[in-house]
Amino acid sequence: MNEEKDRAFVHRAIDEGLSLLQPDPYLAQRILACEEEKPVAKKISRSLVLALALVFALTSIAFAATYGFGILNFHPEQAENRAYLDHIVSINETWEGESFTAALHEAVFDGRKLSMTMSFFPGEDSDPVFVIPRIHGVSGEREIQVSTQMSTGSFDECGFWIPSIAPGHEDACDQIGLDATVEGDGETGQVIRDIAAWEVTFDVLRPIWPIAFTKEDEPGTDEEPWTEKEYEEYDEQFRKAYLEKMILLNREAMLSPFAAASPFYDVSMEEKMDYADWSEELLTREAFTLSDRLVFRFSTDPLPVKTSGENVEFDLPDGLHLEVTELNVAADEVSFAIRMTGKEPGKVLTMDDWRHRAFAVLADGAVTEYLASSCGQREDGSLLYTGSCMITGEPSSLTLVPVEAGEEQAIMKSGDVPERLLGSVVTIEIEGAAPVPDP
Amino acid sequence: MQGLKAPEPSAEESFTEIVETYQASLLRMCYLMLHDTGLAEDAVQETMIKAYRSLSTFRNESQLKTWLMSIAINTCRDMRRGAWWKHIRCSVTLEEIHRAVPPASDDVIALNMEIAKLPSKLREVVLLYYYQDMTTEQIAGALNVAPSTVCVRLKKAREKLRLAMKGEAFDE
Repeated sequence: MNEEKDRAFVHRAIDEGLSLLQPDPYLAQRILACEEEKPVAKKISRSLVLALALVFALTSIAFAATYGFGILNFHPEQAENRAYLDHIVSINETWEGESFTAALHEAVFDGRKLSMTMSFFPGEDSDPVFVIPRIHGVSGEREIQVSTQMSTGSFDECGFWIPSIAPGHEDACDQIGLDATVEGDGETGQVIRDIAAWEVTFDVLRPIWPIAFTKEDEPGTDEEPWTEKEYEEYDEQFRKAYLEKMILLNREAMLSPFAAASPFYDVSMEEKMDYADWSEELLTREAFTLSDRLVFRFSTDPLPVKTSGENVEFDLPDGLHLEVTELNVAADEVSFAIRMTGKEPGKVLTMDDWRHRAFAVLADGAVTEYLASSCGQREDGSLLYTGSCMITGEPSSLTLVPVEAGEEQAIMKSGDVPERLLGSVVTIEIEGAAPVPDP
Repeated sequence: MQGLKAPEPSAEESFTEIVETYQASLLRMCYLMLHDTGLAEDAVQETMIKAYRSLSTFRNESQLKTWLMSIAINTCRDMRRGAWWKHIRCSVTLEEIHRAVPPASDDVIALNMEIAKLPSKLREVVLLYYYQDMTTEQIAGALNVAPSTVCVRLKKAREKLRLAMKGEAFDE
């Protein structure tokens, strides 16, 4: 009985609600007239059959290759790092949803950064959905906050489309690597040294509003940055799209410019806006609906983060006293914090008191590459310098070299300390190295 | 005296009858699949052309309907895969259609909106089952899937619609 009632309801809804859509009274006649000149059906050629067989074979191989997309495909630079290899966790869990099948392959946690590899296989006729990852970890009683960062595949700053709709990246969602860096207390972030339990959630957002792409690329190039006016004009089209209830994506199918430019976006909140909040933000706007939520759970035994042990202190020739308060050597990143004080206790330092303004990091037994740095004044008048760099290999010691701002990259590339700076460097032995298993 | 036997309708007459019978419902179904009036009209025309070319192979009404729906669904899928997503925006949105027609009741508008929001696989079975009055076996034939798959999709769709319509319809 209910079936009949529901059928009548659906008929009424569609026929009444869509009564504007009227059939074409001449459709049959038009088709009959055209079909008088009906083309002859072509037979499929032998070469086409062979070509189709080849495509099928290649697709199968690609599928097999994709399924094996592991951490070492994502971070091949760690292929020689035995301790790193030893800590890779095989997950191999799959999840089948309405729009796609997802597979989480492998994960590894180095105490500072969680890396995962995954594949998404969209259904043959699935409409695109936007997927936002959120990662939450617990180690003992400590909550682990991370900031996610896609590193491979076709991705936006906060998520990615399945299937990919970015022109030229149609197959990009089957080999995705994701890095998530631990945030939290400490000058250079939190370091986790115990087993961590992770919950990786993917919110699947189905677009309700129609999707459009910007007609032109973003203005400006590296050589010629865009002007304020160009920026405003470019930005304006996203606000306009929002008001017209349309999801506007840039040429790379990124959603973030649309999300950031809408009238609801509060510029003053920019720094507080975490990618994890975007899911809620986009749903609030009713441009999307939450169609699914998939959750993977696993745990990791962290690769031991090496440190300098106790704080190391040293003096520079110009009278400044430096104290290395943090030095963490993770699988592929070194992070450090250095506190600078003057000769006179309590003297308020400014950036002008420190001639060098930057540090280069050289490693014994590894290669380093400059990543980021910042310097700020602390309440007690001292300066705090924090920085990080990429590292490949397992160093036995690190050498910190005070350099002029901008010199870091060249010195780290050369691997040598310039003669004029030999008197002001400090070399720190690294403790806590992971035991390297026998090959 | 032997009665006169009615003449068999010609292929053209049969085809014209098919178009008159199915065109309106196919057009609305395709619209709900594609969210675009122009593409929906193209999908119906494409479906009818294919039907005309295969007309002689149909033995009964049930087979014809299954075939027609199968062609329509596949045509919509092709369009979604190709032009539509790259094309971008709907020519006429569902809201605009609702605004343009004589005031429809809230539940009518709400149900249309909820059907349009369903994932395409669920939307297909809802439209075929509730709007085209097909059986699960016929739908399975049209979509080339197992009848049990159709039942699962229908169940999922009912759950979503029941939730969205706040229990006013689609009870088990």
